[in-house]
Amino acid sequence: MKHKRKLRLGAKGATGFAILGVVVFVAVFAPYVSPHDPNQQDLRNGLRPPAWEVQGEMSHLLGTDRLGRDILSRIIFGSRVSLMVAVVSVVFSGVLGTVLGLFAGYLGRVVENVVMRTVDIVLAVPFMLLALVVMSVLGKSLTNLILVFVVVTWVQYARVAFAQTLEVREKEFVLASRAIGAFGLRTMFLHILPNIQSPLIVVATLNLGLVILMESGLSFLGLGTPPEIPSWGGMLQDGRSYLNFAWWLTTFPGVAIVLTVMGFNLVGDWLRDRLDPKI
Amino acid sequence: MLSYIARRIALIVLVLWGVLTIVFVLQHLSGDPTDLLLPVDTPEYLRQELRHHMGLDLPLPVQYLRFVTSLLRGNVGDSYKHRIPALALVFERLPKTMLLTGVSLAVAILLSIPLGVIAAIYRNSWIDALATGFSLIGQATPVYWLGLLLIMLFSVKLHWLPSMGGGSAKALILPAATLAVYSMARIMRTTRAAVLEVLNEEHVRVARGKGLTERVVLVKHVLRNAAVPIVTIIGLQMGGLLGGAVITETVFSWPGVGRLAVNAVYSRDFPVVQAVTLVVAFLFSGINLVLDVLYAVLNPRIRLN
Repeated sequence: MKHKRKLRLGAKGATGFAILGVVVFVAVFAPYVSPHDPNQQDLRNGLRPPAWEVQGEMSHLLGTDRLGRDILSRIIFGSRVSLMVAVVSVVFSGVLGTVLGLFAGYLGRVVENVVMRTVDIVLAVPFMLLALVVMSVLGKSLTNLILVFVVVTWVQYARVAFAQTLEVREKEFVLASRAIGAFGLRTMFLHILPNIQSPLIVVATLNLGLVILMESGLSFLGLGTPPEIPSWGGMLQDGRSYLNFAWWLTTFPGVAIVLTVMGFNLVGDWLRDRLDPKI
Repeated sequence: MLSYIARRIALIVLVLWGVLTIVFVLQHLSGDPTDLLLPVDTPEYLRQELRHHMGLDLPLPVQYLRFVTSLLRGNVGDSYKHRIPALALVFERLPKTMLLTGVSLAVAILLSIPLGVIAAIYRNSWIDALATGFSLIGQATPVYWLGLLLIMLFSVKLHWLPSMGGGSAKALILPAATLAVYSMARIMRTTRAAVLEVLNEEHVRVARGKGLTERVVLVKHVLRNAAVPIVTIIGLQMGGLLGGAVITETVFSWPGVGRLAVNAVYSRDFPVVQAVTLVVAFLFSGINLVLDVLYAVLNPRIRLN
């Protein structure tokens, strides 16, 4: 029974991986896949509707924006920013949060108090507000965007790593490792970490989706990705002024966000079921 | 129980101190406020005077102490833009945000908990498929994008509802619906999972075996035990809603705290940003305290820790 469960990908997992496969492929091969240069302007062809509408043109499948830039090409290139920011910030915040949570759980006392109270402080401000405030101070750039997401998301890994470490710390194999005189670091990274990694991987996968949502939100507010780089949130910001007559500007980038985030969530759920049927 | 609450309150004080320290540091990283307050061509000596007047020429630890003590007296400083106390601005807008998030959360709870329970009971039915699909899409949808779509449909196309403004009850419908969908997706998913888990437990089978009616089993045995995760997610949603309100209020021009914060960030009106951050952190911690006490009531096992 258990073995079957482990081998099956299931409808959820398959859908998730399929979506992500397409998104990653498109992001990596963006210059070859996209029909136009995403920043190429063509003012006479501005605000053209999608190809199937009366005024549409086959060369601009999803229409164009005010400056005549091709929507499909911008969505394709926009996937790069979303994925890059999400992956890099999840790696950094995952490592930082895991290490701090591990130390807090294993060493206890002062380390635990400092780390876990900092976690409480960060969690006391809603993500979006904190990200907004930090971004306004640091200014718009991709590096700052990644920094902001590391600042607001490391706490989730720290919490999980801390709770898991507390549980594993008293197990025989950890006690044995300590009894034979292994250093704390060795015990932590060789014996505890491999045993607490599953829930952390699940959190990381789900956070990839969360970061994409936050990045698009900040870019929508004009405080995320700089405007010269095509991004889904930035496109939605542009489209907001044309809600009355250019529905395609707002609709398609949003669909791209929903599908991508759904892909990460599906894979995250699948991993959760697979790695730990208890949760 | 009392000592538990006392410990929680001590923690909140610590957390708020941390938040205000972060806010203080961020303010100092954000640059010289005299650049914003004075015209570009102001002579340097006038700038110096203003800095002196604002206490910006004092050593940083002294400034920090002054910041904390004036905060204890309920003063965060005046808004650069509106020239009135920043906290007053926040409290003026707060009821609007409370109304918006309160209505959304109420709608979300009323719809999503019954739906989640039904989806769990009729597992793998069409209702379950619909509910699961909805929560899957709902969790992946950016709140503000949903808001834009609703505006395009109900304001632009159908002319049923206004797309902005905070005066009337009609103007509340779209932003509240937007935020409600955001929470519904998450609460429903948790409810479904929690109920499914309890349904499989032994005591439920025993209760059924005793010949209790399905309704009694559901209310007394299933829902009571599924309550803790549901209360947890509702608590988390309040934070999520306050964050979501920031961007939803901007989309719908709803005159609440979120829009105030975004506009303050745009105009670099830092005292207002500080005031919003502190008030929201305070509210959020208060809500969490109430929830923790609620847990202790719902689940006696927690009281021991």
